[in-house]
Amino acid sequence: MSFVNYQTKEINCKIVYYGPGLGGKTTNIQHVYQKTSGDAKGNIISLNTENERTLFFDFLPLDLGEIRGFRTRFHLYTVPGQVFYEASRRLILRGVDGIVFVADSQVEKVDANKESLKGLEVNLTEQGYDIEKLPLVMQWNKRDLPNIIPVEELEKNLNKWNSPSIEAVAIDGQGVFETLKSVSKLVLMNLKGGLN
Amino acid sequence: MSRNTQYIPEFSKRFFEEYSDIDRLKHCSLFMCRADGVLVYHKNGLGDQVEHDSVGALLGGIWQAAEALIQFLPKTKRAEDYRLSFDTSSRGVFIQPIVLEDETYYLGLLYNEELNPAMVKSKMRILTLNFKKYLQAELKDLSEENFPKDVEKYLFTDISDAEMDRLFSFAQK
Repeated sequence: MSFVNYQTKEINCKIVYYGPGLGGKTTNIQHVYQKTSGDAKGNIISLNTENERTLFFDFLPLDLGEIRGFRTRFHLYTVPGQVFYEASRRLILRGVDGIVFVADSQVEKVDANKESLKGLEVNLTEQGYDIEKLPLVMQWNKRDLPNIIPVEELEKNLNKWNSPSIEAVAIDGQGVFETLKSVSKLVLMNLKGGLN
Repeated sequence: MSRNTQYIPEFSKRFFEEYSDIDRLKHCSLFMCRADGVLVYHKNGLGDQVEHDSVGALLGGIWQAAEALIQFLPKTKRAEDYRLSFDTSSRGVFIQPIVLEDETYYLGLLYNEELNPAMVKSKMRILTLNFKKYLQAELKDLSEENFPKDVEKYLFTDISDAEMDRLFSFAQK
């Protein structure tokens, strides 16, 4: 849950990158880290297995600067994508303010995408969230590969909430910041606690 | 989120500056974070290599992972609160939860080169109890002045794309 400090005029929000294993979640936040100037970012923390698969989470703090007098800080997390890390995914979703669902566009990943999305719904519901009310952006990743599903089909199969969706090639940085900007805007517009 | 959460950084700062004897603990850093890993207070005595935001995320993560593990034990009436320790005979991390108005915070101490870590942890337990009492007393009677006028109203009714572009101007091409 976001932390708005009205005294110090600070906003802290948590964004989680969710999706099937090897879909590009870590690649997304690695690109953000690489392309962010020094003052705006902290160190990236990755809790990995020996073969560099996410074991618990990746974490990147971003200090975005001010919006309407509020200093805005975003904490980006990824979940481990592999099926057997369900318990870890549940933990990382606690206090989430916005979600990027990173879908793998490859034909053979249809079931993995669906399973991961179903898991997201279940995990959010268990923690009292309504996915329809939570800022959610769908990212169709790996659009550069030859055997990909048409975007229309991804929309039809995965985007039942008509959330904003963005095509991406995260490994080249394509669509990465567009996705982050899109979910960040939704998160900021979703903050409760009017001052007037 | 409790509306009082925003006061916790200020009260924590005051407590650790004026009332506690934390300075007697040498070579250590103290961190307090929310359950989602957002840091609300830190007092760093270990130098620049300590990344504050990362510490918050890790404290929240390890505590919640440990708590999930504990769920596998047979359920019994809990006689005392849990604490989490990861240490050698001279350095480590010690975490305790503080529940305030239904919200859980984690108070973590990172320490190094301590001759008697058991004593450090014992001091921390007393300090945590006192800290909790202090926060409870301070949070009890707060004025309404700095609270949002309408908690159900949105903070920003509209944000333009230009404002978002400015916010993301840190991104290098």
